[in-house]
Amino acid sequence: MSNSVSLMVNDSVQGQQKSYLVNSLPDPPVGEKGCSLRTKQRIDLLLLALEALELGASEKMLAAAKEIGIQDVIKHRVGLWSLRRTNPWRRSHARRILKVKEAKALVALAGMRSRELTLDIRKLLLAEQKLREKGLPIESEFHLSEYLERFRAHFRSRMNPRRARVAAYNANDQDLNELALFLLNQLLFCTGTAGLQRLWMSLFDGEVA
Amino acid sequence: MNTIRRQYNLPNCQLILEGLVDANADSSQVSGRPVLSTLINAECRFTGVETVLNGGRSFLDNLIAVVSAYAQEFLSGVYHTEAHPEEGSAIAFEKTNVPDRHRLLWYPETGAQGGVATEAKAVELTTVQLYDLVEAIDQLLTDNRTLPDLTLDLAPVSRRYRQADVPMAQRLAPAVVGLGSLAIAAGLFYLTPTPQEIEPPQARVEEVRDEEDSPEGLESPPGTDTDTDIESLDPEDSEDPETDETPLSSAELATLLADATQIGDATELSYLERELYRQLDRGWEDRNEINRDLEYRVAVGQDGAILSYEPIAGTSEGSDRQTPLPELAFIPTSASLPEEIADFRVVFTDNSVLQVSPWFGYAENPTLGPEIEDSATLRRLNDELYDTLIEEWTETPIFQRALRFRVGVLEDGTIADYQAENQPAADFFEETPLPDLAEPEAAGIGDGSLVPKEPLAQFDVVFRPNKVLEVSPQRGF
Repeated sequence: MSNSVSLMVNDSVQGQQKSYLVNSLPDPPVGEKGCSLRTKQRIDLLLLALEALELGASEKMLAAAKEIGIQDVIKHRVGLWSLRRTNPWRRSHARRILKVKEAKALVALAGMRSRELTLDIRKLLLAEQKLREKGLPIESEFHLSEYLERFRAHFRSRMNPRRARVAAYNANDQDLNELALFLLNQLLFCTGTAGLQRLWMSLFDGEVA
Repeated sequence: MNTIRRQYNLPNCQLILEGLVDANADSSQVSGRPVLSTLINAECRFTGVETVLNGGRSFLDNLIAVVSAYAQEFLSGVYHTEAHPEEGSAIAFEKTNVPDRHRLLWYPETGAQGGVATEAKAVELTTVQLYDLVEAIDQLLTDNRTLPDLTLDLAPVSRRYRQADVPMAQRLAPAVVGLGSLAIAAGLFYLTPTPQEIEPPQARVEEVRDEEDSPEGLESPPGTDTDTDIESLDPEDSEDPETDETPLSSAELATLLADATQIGDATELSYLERELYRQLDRGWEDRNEINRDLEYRVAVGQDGAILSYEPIAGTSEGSDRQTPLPELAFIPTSASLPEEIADFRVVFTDNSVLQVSPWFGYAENPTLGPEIEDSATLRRLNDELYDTLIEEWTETPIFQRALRFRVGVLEDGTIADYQAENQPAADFFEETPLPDLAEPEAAGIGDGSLVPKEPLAQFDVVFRPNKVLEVSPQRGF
């Protein structure tokens, strides 16, 4: 744990550019090879969960990119897509480096969108909690079941079923639901004061020497 | 000295601190709030939970450190030792059998100086409660008028703590039952019958198309200027009918592979060996995890796709999770199953070296396929290749050592094939224009076989860190 990073939180962000979301993410100790396959995969899935949460999510992500001043990294739909398809699970997977700067941009987008959706995310998770307490199937609540269904559809249409891990998920709705809920929990953390930094650091757990 | 009370209220969690005001700090000028600099008592309550956690400064320090570590462990699925201190800490976390539950253990302080009880009081938290606790802590940490010496320290844990990579959902499964059945599922996925029908997400098709992030209606997408990219940007790409077919079951696959003919041609084998090595080398990330050599017999198709693998030489069934094999293996469909296959011996050594060799060896010396040998053509192509590469090489080099490649060029100057000849080249090939420029299909590579069908001129190409480019024919002019 020698690579400890202290976070300075700028408390004069009010009225400033929202670029602090990006700037608040510390540089992880990864080299020039950029993010690992696992990091690429986790970031793209997080954005996939956001798409299952709201319609028109990718448009909103592009608008958010402008708002937080990362248009130089994510210029347009193609740009966003070409970063996301570094996820090795995708049907349209592209082998390319995902630079730390690019990963930060994607995670900042997730942070931006989750903050807007804080209430929805909490409602869904509280619904899940209630259903689990009562021993009811998690799909018996309308909004939750809608989110899960949309996530499964997105996952199945975008991820390559010939990848063994994807096939394992596709084979079982329950596994995909658990994945969708796990991602929802991650999005909840993105809404917090320093939650985005926590999530960001967690993307590099087990990826450094 | 005045005592002062600070409260951080979240829907499910309340963090209350009582302490002394630092009389020396100039408080009123900056924010009007005095600085709480010495903690007397910290209290942590959860809505609907009777147990109220409390203690002094060391309790609060433990709470912050352990909750931080546990939150990160929860987010990444990678074990954090700090989240589970063995003794002396007022706070620790335990895994539960339920995905949405986290057991927080509190060891109340005893009368003795700095001592804590040996018996813990347990509080079961939901993930939302855990989040609210983390958020209360983060609000405290960013409040520079309360214990300003506290800071948020985050760092990723080392590869050593990374467990075998299992699907995230299953990581949340019950600790005992879950892990057992999961290990089996992950290790023997070939033996698990794959579903006969993958439920087509028809009901959502329209919506999904709306949301599909592949750009539609963009004839010439800005920012991407290579043919390959434009081709794959086609949204139809994701509807490749082949990929929608039902993958074969393990039994069907085993029968079909047993009947398949082994590729004997040395050149073809060497191209497959290179492709297999490339895939595994790029996919093998956790090299420190292996403490003994892991050996596999791996079957690949004519296109280089990994079809199946089995452990050999005493390698255990479940150990494939320490290798990139499960991630890279493609389950073929009956339509995509190749007529001919090649078996390779693959060794992931405990000193991080990857070895790939044909199972049945080479019957003769492999070649690079048909070659252009005419010296006038070689001279012309040498100049053309240099010009193309120097023009396209726009990135400032970030590598420290020279990258050496073999590059195969068609008679018309098209780059059809390239191969890293040293480790820096394998690591940084994406920093060169080669991946964007290469058009393997132009030489018939990948059309049934990876061996080029058209003759290629073979060049040595060196990209140097000082941005110098060198091109020379492999066998001289």
